Amino acid sequence: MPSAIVRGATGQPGPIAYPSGLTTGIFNDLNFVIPDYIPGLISKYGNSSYMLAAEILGSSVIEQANTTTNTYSHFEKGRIYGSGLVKTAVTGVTSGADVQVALKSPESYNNSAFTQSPFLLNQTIKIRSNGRKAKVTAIDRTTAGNFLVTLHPLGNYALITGTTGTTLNANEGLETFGNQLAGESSDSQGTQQPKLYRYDNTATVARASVKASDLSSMNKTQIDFGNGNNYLPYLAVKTMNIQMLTSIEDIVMEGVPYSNATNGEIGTTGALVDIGARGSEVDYITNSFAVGDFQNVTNVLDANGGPREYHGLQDLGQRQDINDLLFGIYRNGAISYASVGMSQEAAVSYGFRGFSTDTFDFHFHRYKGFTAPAVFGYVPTQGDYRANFGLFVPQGMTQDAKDDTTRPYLQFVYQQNPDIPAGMRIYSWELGYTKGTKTTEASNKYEQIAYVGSRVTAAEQFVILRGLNS
Amino acid sequence: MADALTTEAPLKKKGAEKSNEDRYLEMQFDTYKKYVFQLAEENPERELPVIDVASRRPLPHKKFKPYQNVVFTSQIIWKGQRRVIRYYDGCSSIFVDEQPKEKETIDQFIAQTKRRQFLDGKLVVEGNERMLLLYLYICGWNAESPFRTKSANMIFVAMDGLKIATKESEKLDETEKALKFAKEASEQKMRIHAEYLGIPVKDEDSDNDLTEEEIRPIYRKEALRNSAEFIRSYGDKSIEVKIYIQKAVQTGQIIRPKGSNKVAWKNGNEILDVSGVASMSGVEEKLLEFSQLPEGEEFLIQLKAIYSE
Repeated sequence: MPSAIVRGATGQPGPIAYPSGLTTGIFNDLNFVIPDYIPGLISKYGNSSYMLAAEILGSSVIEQANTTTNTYSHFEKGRIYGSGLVKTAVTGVTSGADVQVALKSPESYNNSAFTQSPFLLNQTIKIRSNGRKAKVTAIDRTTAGNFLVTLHPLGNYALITGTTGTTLNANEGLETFGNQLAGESSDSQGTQQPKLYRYDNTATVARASVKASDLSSMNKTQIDFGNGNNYLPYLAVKTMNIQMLTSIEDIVMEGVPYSNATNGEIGTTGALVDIGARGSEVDYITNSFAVGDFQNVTNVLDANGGPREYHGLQDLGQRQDINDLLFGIYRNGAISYASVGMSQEAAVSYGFRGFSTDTFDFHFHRYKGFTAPAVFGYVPTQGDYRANFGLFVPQGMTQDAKDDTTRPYLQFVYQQNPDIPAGMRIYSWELGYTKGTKTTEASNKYEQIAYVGSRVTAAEQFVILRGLNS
Repeated sequence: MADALTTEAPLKKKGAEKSNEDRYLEMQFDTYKKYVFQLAEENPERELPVIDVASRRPLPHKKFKPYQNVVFTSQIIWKGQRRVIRYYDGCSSIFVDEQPKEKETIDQFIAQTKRRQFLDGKLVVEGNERMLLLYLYICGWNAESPFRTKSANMIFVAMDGLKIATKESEKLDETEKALKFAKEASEQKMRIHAEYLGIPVKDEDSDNDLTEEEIRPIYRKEALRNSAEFIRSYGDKSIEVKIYIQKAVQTGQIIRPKGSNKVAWKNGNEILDVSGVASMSGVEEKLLEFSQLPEGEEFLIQLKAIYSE
């Protein structure tokens, strides 16, 4: 059968599905060779995969996790500085006089029953609008969600909002410190402790297969698909490998919902689902990215205590927006191809471009997974939930609140069957009439499986940067 | 939280002579109230909840992300034309074509405009910030703005107290209506509708038909649980016909003789040519379509005559 390209190589709808496997009719134009796995894939598939880039930048990004169930957990501490908001305005406040404030729920409470708050007797409290300090002289915890705190001003001033008037406004911020005016022969103080949270996630099971008949393995084609190999099963297995990588990346980033699964399958909560719920979002107008938009990002990172270094994974639209503005303005000086853990050359070749501002270093990476044309070869016309989309991922390691285990903020978590050789993230095997495990049918099968999920630690320190369409 | 549309707001006034544009521009806000806007998109519920380690209890689901900024520029459809609006603190118009053009003035506006955010999904605006409120009601990011372009992202909605109360009231009306249907439906109507809703009408072990007294409470509970679907399907005549057809096929009242392209009553009277339809479910669909056509009227009368006794 003559070879013919019916549709451009990158066009929609992409590969053909063969439920019964490959036959000679299909393989006239195709070749593929022995399955190859992660190390080979890195050099073969370059920088189009963030998963592989993350691997290159430090293998510790990926953790082998053995668990008794397919659930894995990590622990996070809550913020260690306590604060509350005034529930209802207090009027008629005079200089030097005590005020009694009700604490607003839910903002001033640590639990859903509104019975825990960070306020303690003798604490020093600061009013956010004017910096005036007061001492807690009494706390009435009788009513959940309506704790009453009596404040005595430390200076000769009124405990009001701002600097004039006689009202302490509703929603005024009250910030707690330890006892800053304990005086002589002071006694023991109360205890404040941050909340501890456990975040659970599960690994989903990803599968891929290739089946090739005997005749399809024998026909030599005119096309060399690499390493001088014109034979089966090079192309199909290579395709399977790429698809598996993309699938794993999509699993980790977007998740696999399973609340409506019909056969009890367990999926995983994706990083973007977690970050979308717990992290911050900064919006800007598509094609009009401005310096102020970047300042919005750094403000959020600063407020949430983000680390110095970030990876910015972006779709092409946002990448172009950023290039047009930032790299247009800062042609010299501020741009640096920072190390991202390796040499400058490596950073560039793995698709990172650096920018530093407001004490943060950003390494931009064009992430194809957000872009339908790049992956699937078509332009969406009915909406695109990842258009002009970027995810800023904190870099470095963070500690588990429970046992101080250090981990990357965004982690690909692989689970491992004990029968599978250690270190295998994607387990592959083959069987067939020419393979170690013989089958009666004259065909060969190539199989892959991965047990994988995401772990997002300190999701509050991630930022989604999204271009809005007007 | 206050009603977004105060009694003074022109939106509540009747008057066909005024355009939407005029009515919005004339909006007045109570300077002593606060106006609340809420993100349109809620967080999906986590598959596995976050656990409070101390109490070992799941934390309540957080409906909104903690932080999302407000974008102060938007394109809208204004009097049939695209127009750009932008909010600056201290500027007397939100329309870009009416705002100062000098770079220095614009830079000053940009510098003095405070950044605002949805915190835990809410943005609270003082009633004295009229231009900001106008912007928020008119801009394309407001999912309920009549001026938004079709392509604009839906970011937030106004938390209108009156609207919320009306919605809740409508929901209660709906529930009451569904419960009334469920209580008063004839036994036959109830059995057919219950079957459609997936409520068991037979005892699984004995295969006996459940009695009316056994089905009715479950049927009423379903009306309470999913009132909207209950009311919709209760009034859907085709569901009744579909069930009749299924029963007629199952009991052999309607047959498709072997090798024939036609379906007929069991006495041999032909009903319909079903050439090209292989499965019985396909035949049932064909019969349902046929029953809704003028030429299928006779078939429908005969079908109902069997089961309406």
